[in-house]
Amino acid sequence: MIMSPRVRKLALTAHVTSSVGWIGAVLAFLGMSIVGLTSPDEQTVRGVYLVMEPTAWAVLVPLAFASLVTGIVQGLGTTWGLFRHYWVIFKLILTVFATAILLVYMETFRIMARIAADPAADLASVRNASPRFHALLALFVLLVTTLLAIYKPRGVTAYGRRKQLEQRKRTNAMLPRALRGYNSE
Amino acid sequence: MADPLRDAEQQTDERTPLWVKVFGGILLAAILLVLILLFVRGPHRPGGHRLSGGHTSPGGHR
Repeated sequence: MIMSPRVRKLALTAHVTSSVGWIGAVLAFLGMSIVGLTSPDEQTVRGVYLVMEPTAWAVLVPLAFASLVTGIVQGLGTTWGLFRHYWVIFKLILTVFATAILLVYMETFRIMARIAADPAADLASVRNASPRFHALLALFVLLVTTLLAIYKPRGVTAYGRRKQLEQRKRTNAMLPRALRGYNSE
Repeated sequence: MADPLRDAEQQTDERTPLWVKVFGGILLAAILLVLILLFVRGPHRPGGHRLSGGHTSPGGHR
């Protein structure tokens, strides 16, 4: 179902906002992870790892799902489709992949928060390089999806070609007989 | 982020572009690597990645 221009613009705004917001949230996590690794203040270090899990549930997970859902809506509601162009398929796979890894990683956030909350755990065991590594990886994946969305590299799938052909036939059938030859060129 | 200003119908090349083959290969390898790591090592543990100082935080601190 193709969306009307007004709805399409609204859906595009929602998709861009959630996707850019997701990148921003990952950057904030990268900043937190660096503070957690470098700050000399024990309370700050423990605080960083304590706050990561609830913040991820409140910000990262909703933004990831918002980006995924609005992206699917964009694909289904425009002529780009979900499986017609290779760049759309790759972007979808990367977004699903990043969201799945984030959900798996929530358990890690929970464990790190538990260690940080344990007064018996020394600072060396509270500090952890894992969030920095994963934030950098997430940032890379999200930048790749952004590049795909902006540059839209060429490449139509077999399904996409079939759909284009059907679309042309439909358009051709609607045209007056005298104009039919021009549409297929 | 589909751009409504650009016509999707213009992209009609018959062959699979080289970038698709390269990108697809890299993506497949990366996903397989992550799945293997998850399968072999189990779900993410905080001690899975070494700190720059060379020591790891205890993954068994559960």
